[in-house]
Amino acid sequence: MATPIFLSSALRRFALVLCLGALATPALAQDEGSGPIEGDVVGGIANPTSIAIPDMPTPRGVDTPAGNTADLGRQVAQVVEADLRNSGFFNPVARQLLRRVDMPQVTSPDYQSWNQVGAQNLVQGYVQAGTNGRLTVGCYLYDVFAQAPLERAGYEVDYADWRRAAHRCADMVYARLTGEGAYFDSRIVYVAESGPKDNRTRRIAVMDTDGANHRFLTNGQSIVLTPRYAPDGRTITYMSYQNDEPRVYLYDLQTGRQRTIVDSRYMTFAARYSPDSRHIVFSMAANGNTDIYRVAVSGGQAERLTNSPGIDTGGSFSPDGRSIVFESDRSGSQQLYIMNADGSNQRRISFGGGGYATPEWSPRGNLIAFTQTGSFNVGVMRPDGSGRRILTNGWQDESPSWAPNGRVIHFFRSPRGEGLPSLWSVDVTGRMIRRLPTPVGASDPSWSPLLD
Amino acid sequence: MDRIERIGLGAAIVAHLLLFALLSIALVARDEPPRREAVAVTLADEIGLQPSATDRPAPAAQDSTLQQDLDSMVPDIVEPLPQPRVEPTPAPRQTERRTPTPPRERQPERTQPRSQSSRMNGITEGIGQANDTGTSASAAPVSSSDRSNLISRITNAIRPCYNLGSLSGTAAEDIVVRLRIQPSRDGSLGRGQVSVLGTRGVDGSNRQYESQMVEAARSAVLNPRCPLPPLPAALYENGWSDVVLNFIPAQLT
Amino acid sequence: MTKISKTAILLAAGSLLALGACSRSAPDELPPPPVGSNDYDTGPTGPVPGSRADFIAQAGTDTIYFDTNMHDVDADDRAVLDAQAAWLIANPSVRVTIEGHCDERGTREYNLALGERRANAAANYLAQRGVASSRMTVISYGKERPVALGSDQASWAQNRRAVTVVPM
Repeated sequence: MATPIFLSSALRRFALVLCLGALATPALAQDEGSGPIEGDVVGGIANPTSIAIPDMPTPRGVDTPAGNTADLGRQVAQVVEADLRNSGFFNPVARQLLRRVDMPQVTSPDYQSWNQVGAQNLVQGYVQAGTNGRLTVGCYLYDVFAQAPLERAGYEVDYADWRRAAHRCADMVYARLTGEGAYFDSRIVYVAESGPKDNRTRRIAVMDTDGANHRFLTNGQSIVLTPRYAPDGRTITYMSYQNDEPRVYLYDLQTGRQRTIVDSRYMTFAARYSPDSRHIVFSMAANGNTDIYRVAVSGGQAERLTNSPGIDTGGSFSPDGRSIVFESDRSGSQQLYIMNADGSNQRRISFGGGGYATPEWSPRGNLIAFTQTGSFNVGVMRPDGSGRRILTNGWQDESPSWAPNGRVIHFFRSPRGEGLPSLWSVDVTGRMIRRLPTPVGASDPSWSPLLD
Repeated sequence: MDRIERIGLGAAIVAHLLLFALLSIALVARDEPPRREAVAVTLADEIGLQPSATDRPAPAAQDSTLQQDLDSMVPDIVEPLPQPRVEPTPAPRQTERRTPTPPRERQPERTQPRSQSSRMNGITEGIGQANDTGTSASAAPVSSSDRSNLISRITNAIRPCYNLGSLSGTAAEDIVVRLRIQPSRDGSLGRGQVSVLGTRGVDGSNRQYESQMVEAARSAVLNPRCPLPPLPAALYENGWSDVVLNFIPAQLT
Repeated sequence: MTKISKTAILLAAGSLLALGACSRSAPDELPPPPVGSNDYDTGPTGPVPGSRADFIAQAGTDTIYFDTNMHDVDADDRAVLDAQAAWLIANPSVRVTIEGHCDERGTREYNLALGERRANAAANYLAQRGVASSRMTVISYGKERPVALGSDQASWAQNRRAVTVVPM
C-alpha cells in the first residue's frame, strides 16, 4: 500500500545523490593536499531530541490565586515538559538530573553543565507576578551543543490561565526545533462516552490538548455526535437527538446558547465549518437519499451541493475554502470525491484499496486524512488521490481530525467487543501513535484552532 | 404468580413514571453555560527587560529586533568542554595536544545587525569566510588513500549523531547540508570551527525545515557523544584540519 | 414457593431483555427500567388492542434485517412487513416510528445515512401496502443503538435492522 510513495521518494533521493555525487567528485579528484577533504554522512537517525527543562525561577515568590509564583515556575516547566514529550519528538532529561536555575542564569545558561547531562537543547524561563494582576512567563530556548540562544518569547496571562502560558512556551520550542506550526495551545472537543454498549451516555466535552480544563457541554440526556470546533474558536457544531429529532446544532461557546443550523423536517448531520467559519457544510437525509448542503452560520437558506441518488456525506473544505472533499457511495462503494465549493466539477479521487470515508482536509492543504473502510484504519492521501498511506492499525480506527499545524492527526479507536472507544493521536509520518487521556470513553475528536 | 406479575408491572409503571419525572427535570436543567472566556495572551516584547529582572543590561534600542536582542545575550564564543580522548597511535608532540585550543576570535558577523527576516542568518554565519582560514601550505601532501581513510573514519564517528528527529519522514529529507569543520589539533571542535557552506534540495515543500536541517548537521558534529576519532597527527595539515561534510538524510535502500 | 420465585426471576429476566429492546426503540436514552416490569402481558386477558404488545403478537415481529451495507427489502422482510401493514391498517389511529440501525462496521456518519435508508425502505414498503405515510416517522440511529453487543458476524447481523415501533 505504501509502495508507490516509497518508490517515488527513493527515486527522488537517488536523483539527489547522483547530483551530489557529480558535485563532490571534482573536489575529491583534486590534487593531493589542496583544499579540504570531503565526504558524505548518509542516512540520518530519528530519535527524540534530548532537551532539558529545569524549573523556572521567580524573581520574587508571590502568592497568586493560582498559587505561589515559585510553585508556578515548577508547574509551568512540567507542563512544557509533558507537551514536548507527548509530541514524541523530544526526550526530556529526567527531572532529578536537572540543576536549579536562578534568575541570572535564565539568560546566560551554564552550557557546560547542561552538556554534561546530555541535553542538546535547553528551555529556561521565569515566572513573575505583575502589578496588573497578571502573570508573566518568560521562555528561552538554547542550543546547548552550539552554545547559542535560539529563540525566546514572553507571555502575559491571567493567573487562571497559567497553563496556557506554558503551552505557548512549549509551542515556541516545538515550532523552532521542528520547523512545524504550533499546536499545544489549543483545545479538543469530542464525544465523551460512558455506560454499556447498548445504552451509551454521550456528552459533548471540551478539554485542553493535554486533557486539562476538562468540561462537559451537554448533560448526556440526548445522543450527541460529531462535534466540530469552528476555525475561529467561537462556536461548536454538533449533532443531537434532542426531542428525537437528529439535527445539527450550533453552540455558542461564549453565551452557551444553541440553535439548529437549518429548519428541516429531515435528519441533518456530518457538519463541518468553512475555513473562514462563515459557512457550514452538512448532510441531509431525506427519503433514503443523503446529499450535501451548505448554509451560512448566520442563518438563511441552505444551498444544495450534491444531487446523486447515493449517500453523499462527510464534506470537508480545503483550507482555501474553494473546494470540498466528500465521500459518496454513488459508484457502489464509499469513495472520496472533490467538488468546487458551489458543488460543480465533482470528481472521484480515490481508487482501489477498499472504501474510503470521513475525509478531512489538512489545514496545510497538502493531504486529506480518511478512514479506510473494511480495514478500519486511518490514512492520508494527496488531494489528487496519490500517495495513499495507512497510518494506524487498530481493530476499528475512524474519524481523523487534524491538529492546527497539519502534522498530527487525532482519531478514535473502538475495541473489539463491549469496551469504550478512546482518542488517539498519530504523527502524519505514521510514527508516534499515542492514546490521549480522557476521564471516560471518547470518540469523534475535533481540534480547535490555536487559541489567541 | 399472577399477583407477583401484577406487582412487578405496577412497580415498573411507578419506576417509569419516576424516571420520566427525573428526566424532565434534567431537561429543564440542561446544558451548563460555559464559564471560561477566551483570554488574550499578550506577547511581552520586552520580556526580561523589566527592572525586576536582575540579569538584563539596559533596555535595547527601540528598533532592536528580537534577533539583535538575542545576539546581545550571546556570550563570547566559548570553546567546548575539553574532551577526554584516546591518544592517536603515533604521539608526536605531547605538549601541544595538552594545550587548550586558543579561543577563536569573535566572528565579524556577530557584531553586525542581522536581518530578522531569515532564521538562517544565525547559523550560516560561516559562509563566505570559511576560505579565509585556509591550511598552512608548508605541510606535506596527504595521499588520496589516506584522505579517503580519514573521511570514512570521520563520517563513521559522526553518523550516529546525525539525528533527524521530527524531520525524519518529511520533505526535509530532500535537503542536503554542506558543512565545513576545522578541528583543532587535539581533535576538539567548537562552534566557531563549524561553518555552513550551503544547502541543496530546498524547495517550496521543505523550506520550512531548512534551518532545522542545518542545525541537525551542526549538532551531529558538535555532539559530545560523537567526538572525532583519534586521527594521526601527521595527517592533520592538509588532511583532517579542514573537512567538508555533506549530510545526506536518506539512505538509498 | 421456591419454584414460584425461580420462575418469577426467570420471567423478570426475560422481560428485562425484552424491555431492553423497548427502551432502545424508545426515543429517549432511558436507563434500563427496574426489573419486574412486563409490558406485553400474555396472560389470559391478552394484549390491549392497538398496543405494542398487540402489534408484536399479531405481526410476529417488529424487526426486519438487512445484509451488510444493503437496504433492500427481501422476501422474508416483505412477509413481516405485510403482517405489520395488516395490523396498522386494522389500527388506523396508531402512529409509528420506524427506526433504522446499522452494525458497528461502518463509519458513524455513513451509518446514520444508511440507517435512514433502511428505515425508509421499510416505510416505503408499508406505504405501498396501504399504510398512510403521514402515520409513519422514520429515524436513523446509525450504529449508536446496537441490540447485540458482540463484535462478530452474528451480532452484526442482528444489528442491521429496521424496527417498527408502536407507542406503548
